[in-house]
Amino acid sequence: MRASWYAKAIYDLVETGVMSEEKSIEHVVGVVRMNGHEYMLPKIVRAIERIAQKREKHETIEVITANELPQEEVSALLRKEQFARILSPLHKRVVRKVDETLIGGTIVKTDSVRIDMSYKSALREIYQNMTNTL
Amino acid sequence: MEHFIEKLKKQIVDFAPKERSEKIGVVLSTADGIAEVDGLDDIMMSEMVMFDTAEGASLEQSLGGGGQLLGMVLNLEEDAVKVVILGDATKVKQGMIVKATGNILSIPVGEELIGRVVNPLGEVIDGGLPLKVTKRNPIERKAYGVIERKSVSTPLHTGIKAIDGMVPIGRGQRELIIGDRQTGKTVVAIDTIINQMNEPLENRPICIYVAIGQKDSKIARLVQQLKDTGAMEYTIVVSASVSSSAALQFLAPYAGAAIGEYFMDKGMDALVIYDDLSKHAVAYRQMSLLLRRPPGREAYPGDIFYLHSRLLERAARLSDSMGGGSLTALPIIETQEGDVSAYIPTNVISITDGQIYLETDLFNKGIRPAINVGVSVSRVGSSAQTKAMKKVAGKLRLELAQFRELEAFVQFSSDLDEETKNRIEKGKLMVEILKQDKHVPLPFEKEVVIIFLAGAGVFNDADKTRIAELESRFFAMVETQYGDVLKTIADSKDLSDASQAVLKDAAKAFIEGNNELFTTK
Repeated sequence: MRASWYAKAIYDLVETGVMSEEKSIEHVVGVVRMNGHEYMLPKIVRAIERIAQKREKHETIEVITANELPQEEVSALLRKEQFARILSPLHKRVVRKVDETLIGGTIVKTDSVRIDMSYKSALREIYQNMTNTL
Repeated sequence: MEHFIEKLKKQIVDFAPKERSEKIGVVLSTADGIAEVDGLDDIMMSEMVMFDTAEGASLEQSLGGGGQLLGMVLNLEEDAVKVVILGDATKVKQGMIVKATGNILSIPVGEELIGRVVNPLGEVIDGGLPLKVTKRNPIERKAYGVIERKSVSTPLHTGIKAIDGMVPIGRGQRELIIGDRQTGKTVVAIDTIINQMNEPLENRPICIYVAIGQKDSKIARLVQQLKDTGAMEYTIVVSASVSSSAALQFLAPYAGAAIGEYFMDKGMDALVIYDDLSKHAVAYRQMSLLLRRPPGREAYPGDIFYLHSRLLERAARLSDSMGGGSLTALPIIETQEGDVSAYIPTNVISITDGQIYLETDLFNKGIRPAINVGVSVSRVGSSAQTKAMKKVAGKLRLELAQFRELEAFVQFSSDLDEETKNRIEKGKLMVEILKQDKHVPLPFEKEVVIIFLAGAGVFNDADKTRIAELESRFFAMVETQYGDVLKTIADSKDLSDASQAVLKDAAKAFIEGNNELFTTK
C-alpha cells in the first residue's frame, strides 16, 4: 500500500463530489488507521500536494514570448489553428511568461506537449543544418 | 568561405519558421546519472529522449553548449519515467524539459567509421573530424532467425597456432575467451585482429573492438598498436572507458554489434570483440540498482542472462539469400582465481559456441598463449578449418592430451619404454612449437607447415630451448627458397602429397644447414 494511493483516493472523492472534503479525509484516515499505516500520514499529505500541483499543471497552458504581450493578443494567438489543437476543455488557466532568450516568436506549452515557434529554435536549426552538430 | 556564405544564404532564403510540436516531460529529480521525469506520455521503452539544455540560455550559450544531451528511457513507472542520462549528468537540473524523440536509440554506421575511435553514441573521440554519415542502425535489434542463417563453415584465422589447430573459430561463431586477469585474453583478441592483415582484401573481415570499462591508457596503447601494425585500416574501436558512465558502458557492446551488423547485412564479414563482458555486467548491475530494480543473485538484476544472450545471438552467418555475410563475436570474460563456475562466466559459457580458457599457471610457466587445451573447446570444430589444417591438426589435441597424462612420469624417464619416451619428447616439442610471441600472428599456411613438420617427427631432435629461433630461421629459408609451396597451400587451402614432399625436403635441408639447433642423441 502506498501513500500516493491513499492521497489519490482522497483527491478523487473530493473531485467527484461523492463526499465533502472533511468527510473524505475522515473516511480515508479511518482506513489508514485500520490498516495500521498512520506512519504514512505525512507522506499522504505531501502526495496530495503533488497531485494538486500536477492537476494544476495539467490545467495550465504556458505562453512564453520574448516580449510581454497583452492578454487579448495571447488569447488571439491561442485561437490559431496550430495552437488550438493542443487545447482541451481541461485547460482552465493561461500563464504568460517572458523569456528574452527566445529572441522572437512564441512557445506554447502544456504539461505534455510543447509547440515551439521561437526564433531561437529556428536559428539553432539553421546552425545545425550548417554544421551538422548539436 | 564563399561556399559557407552560399550555404548560409540558401538556408536563410529557404527558411520558414515552422512549428515544432514536441512531447515533453519535466525532470522531477536527478541523481547518480538517473533522472526521474514527469510527463512524457506515450513514451516507449528504450526510447531516446533529449534534455533541453537550451531552455533559459541565450542563443550564444546554447550553441556553445557542446552538443545534445541524450537519455534513454529504462523504467516506465506509475507516476514517473526513469531516464538514464547518456552524457554529462551535471547539466541536468530539476525542472528541465525533456523531449521525446520518438526513436529507439541508434548509432551512425558505415564505412566512414573504419579507422576511427568512437563512443557508444557514435561520437568521435579520436580528435579527428566529425563523422558525416547518414545511415543509422538501432542499437538494440532482434537477432536473425534460424531460416535466415547458414551453418558456420568458413574459418576465421586468429594466427595463433594453438587456437587455429585445436580450437578453430569460424566466421559467424561466438567463441568466448575466458581467464583470470593478466593471462593474455586481450592479446589473443588483438592478435586475431592483426592477423586479418594476412587475409586477402576481398576476404578480410571488418574488425570492431569494443572496450568496456577499460583504462583510457590501455585503450590508447591498443589503438596505437593497431595503427603501428596497419590494422586500424580495417578496424573500428568503440570505447566506453572506466571513466564513462555506467549507461555508456552498458550500451557499448550493443553499439559494436549494430556497427558489425551494417557490414554483415551488406554481405561482408565482420568480427566484433567485447572486452570485457564482466565489466559490462557490473555496469548493468550498477544501473539496475540505481533504477531500483530488484537485485537477484550476487545483486545482479534478474535479466542479466538476457543482457548477454540477446547481444551474442546477433552474431550469425547469414544464408546466401540474405547476402552471405557474417558477424563473428569474441566475448571476453575475466574470472576470479580461475573460477569458471561463477555466475556470469557460466551464463556466457552456456550462450557461446565454445571457449578458449587461459590459465595463470600455464602463463607463469612460460606457456604463452596460456591456453588450456583440455578445457578449451570449439563447438563448431573442424567445420571451421581448412582441409590443410584438418589434415595436420587432427591428432594434435589427442597427442597433447596423452602427453599431459604422461607428463607426471617425466621424472622417471630412465625407467620408461621407448614408445612412452618418444611420446613425451614429441609432446614437449609440440608444447614448444605452440608457444608464440604476442602480436606476431602467423598466416595460416605457415601454421600448417610447422604443425605438419612437428607432427611428422622431423624436428624431434630439435633443441627445445631454441624452438622459436628454429621456427624463425626455417620460415626465412622456406620463404626464400621454397616460396611456391607456401603460396600453393595458401591458394588451395590444402596440403597435397607433393607439398608434403617438398616440405620434408626443405626440413631435411634446413637440419643439415643448422646443426646447432638440434641436439645429438
